[in-house]
Amino acid sequence: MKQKDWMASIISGLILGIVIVALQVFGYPSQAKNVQAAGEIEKVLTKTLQSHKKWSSFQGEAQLTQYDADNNPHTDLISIEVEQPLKANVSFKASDDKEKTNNKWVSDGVKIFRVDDKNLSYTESTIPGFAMKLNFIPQSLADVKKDEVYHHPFEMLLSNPIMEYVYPVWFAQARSGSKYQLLGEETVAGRTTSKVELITETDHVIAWIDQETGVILKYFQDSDGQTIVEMEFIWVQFNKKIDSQKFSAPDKTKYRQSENQ
Amino acid sequence: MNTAKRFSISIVIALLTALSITFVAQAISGPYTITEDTLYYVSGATGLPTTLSSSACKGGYCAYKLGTTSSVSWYRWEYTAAHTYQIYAYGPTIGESVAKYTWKDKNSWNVTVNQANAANKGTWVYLGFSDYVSTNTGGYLTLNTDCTGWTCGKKVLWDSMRYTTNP
Repeated sequence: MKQKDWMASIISGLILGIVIVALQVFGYPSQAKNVQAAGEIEKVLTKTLQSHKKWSSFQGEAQLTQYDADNNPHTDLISIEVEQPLKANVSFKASDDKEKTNNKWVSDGVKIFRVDDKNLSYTESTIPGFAMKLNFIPQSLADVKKDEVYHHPFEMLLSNPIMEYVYPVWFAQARSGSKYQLLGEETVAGRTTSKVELITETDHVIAWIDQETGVILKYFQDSDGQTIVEMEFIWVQFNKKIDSQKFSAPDKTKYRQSENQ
Repeated sequence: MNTAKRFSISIVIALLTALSITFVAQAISGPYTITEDTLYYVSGATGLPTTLSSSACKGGYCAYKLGTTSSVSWYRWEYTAAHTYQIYAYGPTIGESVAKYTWKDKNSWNVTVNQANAANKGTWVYLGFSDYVSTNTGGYLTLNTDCTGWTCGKKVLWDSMRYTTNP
């Protein structure tokens, strides 16, 4: 071994090491999840990943039924108004659980308020910086990571179950080995949707995905034959101006602030 | 030394160098995993979460408490290392309820993960990142059993959490 051989070996090793680290940081092409989807279904799933870019405001009312541990249904009627990027007003108009109708979630774009109308109190939390950093959300099925799932941050920050359907970027990121199938086309809440079946190792899902925006307008999930959740929007409206008062902080002369844990 | 032998030794040296760099990079930036083995009580209703033995959990075990709105419990994982950047939580494949996480370093924020969501099961769910990555000296992640907005009485699961650092 001559000195130049040593130099060449070490430099090659350094370059190889840097390339491996860079690939780890920015994602291996081979880390892509084995999303079994091609053709039309691929287009539909890609739309869910980019859904938040397809609309500026969203209004609607949905009926959401969740099943408890004993498989009893609990149904809520939820009203939702969202203005991109970070304003929202979500409330329970009716519910099997009367306590829920006292709760409302409001975001003015800077803070999120959880308002309790029964006790005339609210908690507030500041929206963190990552809420505006959307570059980590996969933009295509090839970008979907093998063992990670990324949700839209506003969905996770607002903390209401209906947000998962309004921001459906998670839908195309099911665990490796999951299968997606396009079942056809149906109308939901006056909108044309693609009916998509998702089968994972543990769950069976059917989602009705708005063809224009990618928003999930109807959803069904069961696990081992037990229904987990059913959701359907009764009406929806996209890209209409919403009264800014809807996104205002609670009136501090009427509501007192509670401590956020 | 003939050319073939020199070439072979050079390749071995190159691979060892590359491996060393990868190990060093991994040691610096993670990802690091913290299991639920040592959960710390933070506030609310007392009593440790129940241990659940299941192959659906990372490492074969989870901890759980039932979701509630009236006697909410908060527990935390161990403190993370300095310059904590991205934070993840593992979603066991037996997830059935909503989990509300709070990240605390110089500041704090709360996110909600529906553990029953089909895409969250059996994978790392991204929770967000620290706004103070360059100055934080670590922080901790809590999980609570507040099910406001969801149907209560189902298992809220503690499994592993994972984070990266960025010096």
